[in-house]
Amino acid sequence: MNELNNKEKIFAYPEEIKERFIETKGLDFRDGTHVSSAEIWNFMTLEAPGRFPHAFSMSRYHNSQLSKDVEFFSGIKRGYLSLTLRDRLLKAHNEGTPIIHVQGGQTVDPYFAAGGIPIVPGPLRGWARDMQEGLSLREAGNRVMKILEGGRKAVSIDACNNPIAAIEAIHQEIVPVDLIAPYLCLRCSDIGYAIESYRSGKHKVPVYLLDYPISQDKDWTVKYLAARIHGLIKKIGEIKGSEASDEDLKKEIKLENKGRRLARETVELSWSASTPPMNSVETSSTITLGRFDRGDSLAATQVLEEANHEVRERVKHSVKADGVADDPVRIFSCGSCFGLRGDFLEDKGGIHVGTDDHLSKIYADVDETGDPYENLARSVLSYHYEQPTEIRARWVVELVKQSRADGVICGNNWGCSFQSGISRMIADIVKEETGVPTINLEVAELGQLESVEQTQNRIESFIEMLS
Amino acid sequence: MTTKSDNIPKFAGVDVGSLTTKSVIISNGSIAGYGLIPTGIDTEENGRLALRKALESANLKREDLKYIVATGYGRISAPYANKTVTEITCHARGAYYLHPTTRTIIDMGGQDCKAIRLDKDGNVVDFAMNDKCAAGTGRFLEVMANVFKVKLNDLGSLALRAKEIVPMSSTCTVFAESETVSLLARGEKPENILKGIHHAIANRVSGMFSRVGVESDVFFSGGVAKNIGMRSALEEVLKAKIVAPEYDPQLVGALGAAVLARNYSGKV
Amino acid sequence: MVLETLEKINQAVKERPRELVKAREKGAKVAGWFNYNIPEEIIYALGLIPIRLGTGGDDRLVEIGARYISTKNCVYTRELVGLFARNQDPYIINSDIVAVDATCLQTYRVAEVIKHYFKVNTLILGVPKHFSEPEGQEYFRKELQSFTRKLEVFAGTELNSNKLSESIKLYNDIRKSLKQLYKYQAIEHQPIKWREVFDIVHAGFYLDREKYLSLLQELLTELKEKHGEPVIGNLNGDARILISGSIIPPGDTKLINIIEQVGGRIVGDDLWSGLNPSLDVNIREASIKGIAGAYINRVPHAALPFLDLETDRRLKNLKQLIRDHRAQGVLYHTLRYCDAFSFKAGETKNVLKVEGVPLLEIHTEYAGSDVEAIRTRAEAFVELIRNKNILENEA
Repeated sequence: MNELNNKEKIFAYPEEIKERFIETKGLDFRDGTHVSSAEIWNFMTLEAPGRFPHAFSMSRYHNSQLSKDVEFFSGIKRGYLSLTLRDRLLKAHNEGTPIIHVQGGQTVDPYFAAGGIPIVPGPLRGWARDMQEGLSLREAGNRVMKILEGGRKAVSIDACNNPIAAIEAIHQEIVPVDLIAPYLCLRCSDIGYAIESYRSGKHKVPVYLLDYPISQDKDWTVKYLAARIHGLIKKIGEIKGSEASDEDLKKEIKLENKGRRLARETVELSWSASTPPMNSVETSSTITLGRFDRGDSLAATQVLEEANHEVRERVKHSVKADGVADDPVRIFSCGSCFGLRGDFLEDKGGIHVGTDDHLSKIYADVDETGDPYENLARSVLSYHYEQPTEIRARWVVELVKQSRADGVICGNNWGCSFQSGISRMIADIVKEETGVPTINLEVAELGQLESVEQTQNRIESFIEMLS
Repeated sequence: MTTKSDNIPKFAGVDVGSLTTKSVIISNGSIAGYGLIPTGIDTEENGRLALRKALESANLKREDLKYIVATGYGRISAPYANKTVTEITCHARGAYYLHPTTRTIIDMGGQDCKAIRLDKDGNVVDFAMNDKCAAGTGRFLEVMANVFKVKLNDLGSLALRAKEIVPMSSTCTVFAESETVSLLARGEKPENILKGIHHAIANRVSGMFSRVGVESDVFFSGGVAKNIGMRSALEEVLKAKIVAPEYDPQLVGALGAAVLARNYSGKV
Repeated sequence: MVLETLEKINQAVKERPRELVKAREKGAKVAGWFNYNIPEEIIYALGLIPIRLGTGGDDRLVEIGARYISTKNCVYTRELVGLFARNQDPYIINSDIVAVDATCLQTYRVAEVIKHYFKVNTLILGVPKHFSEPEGQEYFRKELQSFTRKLEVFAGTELNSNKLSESIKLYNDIRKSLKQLYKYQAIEHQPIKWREVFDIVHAGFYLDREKYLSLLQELLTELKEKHGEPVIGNLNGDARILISGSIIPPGDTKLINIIEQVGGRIVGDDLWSGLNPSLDVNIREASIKGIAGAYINRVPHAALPFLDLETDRRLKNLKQLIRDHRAQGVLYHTLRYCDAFSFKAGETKNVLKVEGVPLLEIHTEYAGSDVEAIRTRAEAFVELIRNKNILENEA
């Protein structure tokens, strides 16, 4: 038996942290429920390992492992948000909360404000996978591939696996989604085309698109997008049966601004620290949590608050994150639908310090005064990641300097035509302006269990070159 | 074979494929002989040679043939033929001849793969072929057999011994080869990887079928049809039963060409 | 029967690069453009020389382009980048500004790449995805106004309404003439082949537009004198094929050659490098607003989404063109990674199936490696159509 078979090692949180963990604050959710830290502990140590064994697999070939830095308690809570996503979304849907499939990396304030739950392609695919429980890593991998193949069959093998598998899962009715309402921005070449090509499918899901024009700096573009956001709020209202007011919007904006600020501060603090207080997984997760991708903006903000506090403490006491090398090679990444595997980087003496796509989101606060629709539109249009490439590259240059990156990996996923088209341009500009080495990667691995040796080989060589 | 020169008209089909060249002769509504050779460099000569072999096996001479139809990618260099027809039409004819209730054909040859739909009279009503991708072809399986250091013929039965499927993510043959090497390096069992490969191929092929639709009976032709692992994976992915082969599936195109030769001959 | 005007058009195209050089020496400015929604009426009215840029079918240029963009970009965009990188195409060399609209965003990326690497002076026009919604239309009006202001500065003159009216009339006449030409190529004993008409459309990317119109009118007069009015009546057993799908720019003859070689007859297209830009442009007033309205209300390019199958005007247009040209099958050409068209192939096929029109998708690139495989497909498709004709005649 090799380690991919039944006897693979399973991760477990050590009992000795239990007492301290359950003393920490629990989490509040938007629907009014409160979960104590003791309940979170029980879920993560007793319930989840039985229901979602694949998530705890320590196989070398598991691409999305839980963080092993167990003393970083907010990380355990973030893991809780991930592993309860399935249950929370089903419960919300059954109680009449619209579940809305949205674009990755975009502002989600309007969706939450209107009383819906936005869910981006990656977590949605995970949700679909977890609709079947008890899966081993291998079984989970096969299930994910099966859904993806359905999408490829329905649309095209040229499609990026992220949007195509997500939309396929919705159309197969594996997950109950009430509305598909993504931004049609330059990040993704496929989501708009994919939605269109499913229009004659059997399962009818309402669709509302939000155009995201390339002329971001114009007043008329703001007005155009604001009108679309108005329409979105109305559409969600129709599904839910009650429409959000301007006050609801403002309240949500305030909450999410707080979350974004916390994520930003935490990451910047970590960048400036002489010893890295967060490992790669925690850094990436803090950034993505700042885009509220786990279905609850309130609980996410509370986790971010705790993470912020923990990082401050660690920096104050020069505590280094568990598993990170003393002077790691700091890797920054550029591109969407493409991730670097944290534990692999750390194993090779590197650390992931962030990605421009996700960071873009936490640097886009919404003005809290004035017309909330126009403010939201302005914030969306200010996303660094969606700017003309030369402008985006200049921002990446700033991030590379600020995060003190030693190397930049520009990547894109198979089938992505919009990011692949300018991946080299970003790499060239960043290299020229900062002198930091860059490489370009095309990946085709977004599942949990795919053969990543070729990608890893390139990354490992890159780290060797930098160290 | 005891067919002798007599007054019964004889018709031949020649199918010059990328890996093998086949020829079939029919006479009086039945198969009189066949020839099968590996395809060499000289396309025209390959056709002639296969035809000669078929004639020998039927105990016939070239002059006995009333009409010859050539097909396959080598049909463009077939001056010995009276007419050329694409292998799509030929496979349809051949499959219909062998199994008249055929409505869908999966043809997997050396360098391409086809999905063909027939009406009740054996006319082609729709078809699709793989594009620029070698997955689902004999050539691809040859490459894989090489990676596993097994004979091409044993590939399918080895895959059937698998207890698990190793998922293959690659969308491209070239990458699939290196992915396979990586999976072997991990210590995955060859049969499990092979099953994954057969499933990946079946998935690519089923994408083609989603364009033309699947209706029973499903007929599997071409050299790859001899691979029982492929047959099983296709049945699983297409959720359709494939009819058992009654004749060498590799010869179906040449047989169809011979049947067409008979039809055209009547119209001359 | 040789058409004399055809030779004149070919000659004019050959002379055009030299003409452009001379015109520029005398102070004229050339505005090259690519993508799908740049209104030439405005360029022309400002006294600039409009040239539609872009070629296809050259794998060496594709290779050069791939050094800057990626192999996950379609070959058309890769070749476009390659053209700018090599900088030998006479129209690219002579373009003083390059206007690009954001219809196909993959093509829009090309504008970013050539600006950065080759310092091309680009001018961008935003295009809304919600082309039929009032807010989308308003956005496009504003974009076109802003685009025009910038073009005015470049031209050193302001848009004059008389000039704009003249320009609109010129383009309306060109479009009308091209539509008439398409009728001639579709009649039973074709006095002009589709391929020749397609080349004439491409001549219109380059020639002086007034001269082009006079040549078109001369050709139509010649055709009328020799062959009378075009009436698409009896069919003579040809396998009549309409080409649809991804762009087939000047130079990309791979598929067209194959269809001809296997005995298929092309009788029409709905390509954006063919008939489509001549269809459905109704300019209601000689103003930026009028032009914006006309362009955004055309049958949209495949990059702009239709969410409802029932109201999809692209499919309606395709069906109409099939009827008008009495096509019996559709060859749906898709370039690899041209998702705008590729993703629609399956559904388009199903829609046409209901109408009894078979569709064959050819998914390809410019490299010659799949020529034989395509030939087999195209030939089998022609066999299928002919067989269908025979069966229908027998019935």
